[in-house]
Parts: sequence; C-alpha cells; structure tokens
Amino acid sequence: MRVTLYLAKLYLLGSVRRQIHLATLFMAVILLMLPAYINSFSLGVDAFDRVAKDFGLTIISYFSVVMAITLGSSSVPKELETRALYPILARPISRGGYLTAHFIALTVALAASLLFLGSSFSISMAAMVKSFDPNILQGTYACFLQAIVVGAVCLAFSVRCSPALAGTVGAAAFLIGSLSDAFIRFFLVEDRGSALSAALAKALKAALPDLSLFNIKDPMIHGLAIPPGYMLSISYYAIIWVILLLLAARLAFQKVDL
Amino acid sequence: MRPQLGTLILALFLTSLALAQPQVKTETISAGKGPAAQAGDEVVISYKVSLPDGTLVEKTEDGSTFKVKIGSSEIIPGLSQGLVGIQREESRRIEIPAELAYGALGSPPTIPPNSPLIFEVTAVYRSSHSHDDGHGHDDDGHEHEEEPSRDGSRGRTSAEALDRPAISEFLIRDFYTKPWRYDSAPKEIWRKSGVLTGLSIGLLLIGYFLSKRANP
Repeated sequence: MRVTLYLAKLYLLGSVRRQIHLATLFMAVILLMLPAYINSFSLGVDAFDRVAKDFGLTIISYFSVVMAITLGSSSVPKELETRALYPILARPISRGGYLTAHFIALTVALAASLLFLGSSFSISMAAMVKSFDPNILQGTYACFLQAIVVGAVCLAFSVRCSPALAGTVGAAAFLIGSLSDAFIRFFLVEDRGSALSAALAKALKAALPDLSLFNIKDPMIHGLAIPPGYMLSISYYAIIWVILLLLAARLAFQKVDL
Repeated sequence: MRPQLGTLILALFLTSLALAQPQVKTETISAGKGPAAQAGDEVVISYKVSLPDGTLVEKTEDGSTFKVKIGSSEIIPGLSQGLVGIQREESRRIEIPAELAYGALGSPPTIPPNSPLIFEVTAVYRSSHSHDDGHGHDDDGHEHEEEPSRDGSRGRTSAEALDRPAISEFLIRDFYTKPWRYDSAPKEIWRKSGVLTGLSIGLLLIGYFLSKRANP
C-alpha cells in the first residue's frame, strides 16, 4: 500500500508538470468574474443569483469531466508507450496497485482542482449577493463524484485502448449517462416517434453509470433542500462504480502482455 | 476460458440490471379483438383502481369512459406500460409498482405513500388521431364524436388537445420528478448500488482465482 501511495504521489506531481493546475487557475479566474459579468446583463432582474449559479456549476461540471477524461485516458498508455512502466512493475507492486495509484492521483488532482474552483465561485457569489451559499460546494461535490466515475471509465478502457479511444468512450459514457428521461421521452418518443432509438438509449443508460443522479444543479439553484440521505447514496453509488471499473481494469490489465 | 468468462460476467451484469428495474404485471381477464394498441395510440377505457388491500381508489361511472394516450405524460408511467398491446373489448388487470405510480409521495388522501396500484381496465375502443372536423375514427373505421375538452372546444382547436405536449411541459415535469423530490430515490440508488456491489465481489473473486491459477 505504501508503494501504491508513493506512486500516486509521483503521478500527481506528473500531472502538475503537465500544467493541469494552469487550466484550473484559468477556469477559476473565469468563475471569479462570472457573477459580475452576468450581473451586468441582468437589468435588475431578480434571477441574477440563479442564472449565475447555473452558469457557474455548468462550467465546473464540464471542466471536471474534461479534466477527468484527459487525465484518465492518457496516463497508462503514455507509460506503456515510453516504456516507463517496466521499471515500475519490476518493483514489488501488483498491476492492480499500479492502476490504483493512477486512480488515486487522478482523484486527488480532481479534488484539489474542484475544491479550488468551488471555493472561488462561492467567494465570488458571496461578494455579489452578500451571503455565503454552502450549496455551491455541495453541487461541486456532486460534480466531483461524476468526474471520478468518468475518470475511472477512461482509466479502465485505457489499459487496452489508445488514449483517443478511451477518451471517446469516457465522453460517450458521460453523454449517455447524463441523458435525462425527459430528453428521451420528448425528443425521441414524442417528437421523432422513434421507439427503437428510445429503447436503445434506455438500454445503454441502464448499462452505464447513471450520471443524471449527480445533476443536483436545479434544486440547488432554486434553493431546494437536498436530503443528506441522497448525497450519501450517490456517494456510495459513485464509489462502487469506481471499484467495479478498477476491478474490471485490473482483470483486463493482467492479460496485457508487456 | 476467456470468452466464457467474459460472457458470464456480461450475463450476470445484464441480469442484475434487468432485475433492478421495477416491473408492471398484466393479466388478461377477458380477451379482445382487433389490432393491439401501441405507444402513441389513444385508447378509450373504463377502469377501476384499487389498492393491494382491495380499497377502491377511483372508478369510471357506469357507461362513462376515459380517453388516454399511451406514453402520454398525463397518465402514470405504469398505466402506459400496462396498456401496450391491449385490444378492443379486452379487460386487463394491471399491477403497477409504486415507483411507476405515485412513488413515495402517494396521492393523499386516497393513495398512501409507496403504494402499488391495481387497475382493472376495459378497452372500449382504440381511437386513431382525430381530424380537424372534431371527429375521430375507431379501429374498425367507425366515426365517433370526440368529447369536447374542458373549454368546450373540439379537436385540436384547444391547447389541451394538442397531440404533443410542449417541451416546456416535459422540462417542468423532469424538474418536478427529479429523484430528490422522492424519499424513495435513495432507496432506488441503494438498490442499484447493491447490485453493483455484488458484481464487484464477483469480479474480485474471479481476479483472485485467476491469479491463484497463474501463480499456484
């Protein structure tokens, strides 16, 4: 375990060297300026608060998914390509431990980045509306859970696929998993009359992680309370998907002939 | 060894996902005739709704009917599922789980929270889409008078009678039916998570046995 944690630390430093933190800083600046920018267009409409939170959390959500796909899909293939993997696996670490180290590094990088973004946005909103809204951090936490699941999908596929393919699978899992039932029903069934497409979308959605569970933006924006039981259940749901994907990745990675 | 193992894992996964979905049970009481109704069809029904303990919730008056569109957001999802395939004059008993009826909120005071519903439905006829003259046609091609809508207008002249609900209606419904509105949502998520936990343990055991075989 100590070796795994040591490796995770090295990979985390590696992601810092890839200047991921600069992208985070750039997004943070956007989020800091966003409420003031939206306020300038609000023309005194009382909805400024809700619109700004909606935009801010959407940006955080998409940024976290892009970051998860970038980090999750490229780290293992890159080491396979540069042959940096061989001296690592020659040490007393299993292949499962190696993948776990990658995932821990990804999780810590995402957590640090999202904590920074969520805090920046909360502070910026608090400065505009003169009250601190802890729900923004709750929404950011849900984005984090969604991102680690997408990252785990990418990592699991990257052990056997190219980074491009693993990233595409991760993006597809995000798009299909985030489909709302209203979308399937309105656009596919009622509007297009395509029961087959709707059935396919539903089947894919059932087989992939249901990421729409992590979308708590709407109630948060409208000031509705989200029960702690709900947050607990989606946390467990995300963790168990991550475990399942890492176990599947480990099984697939065992068979890779290095 | 590898293909069988992959198939087994996939079969386990798909079976567990299928088991995790709540199902509507239908039973034909008396057979009907004519074509079977599909999603999007309008069916004119008479019905009786009761709770599992037999308490009557609602029923149509003798001789009166109720027109529903299968798959429409105006009826509960379980009823839409249960009506698919129904024929003219067929009577069906449809058992709808709470998740596909009124969920954890119920519909007080008549329907308690988390209550399944039992529908006894008779399809009077299956109607096609109405014409602009305010007349519809049943599945034998017979013309019938459409019931006027609440504002007294007929056919598509009323906003209520539009074939497709507006997207805003779906989005609003989507918002109001989001899981946090229901206490049963975490229960559903826990159930899914339980299935995934079982799969994870299965994968763990498979990994253990494979490594044991590789390094005895």
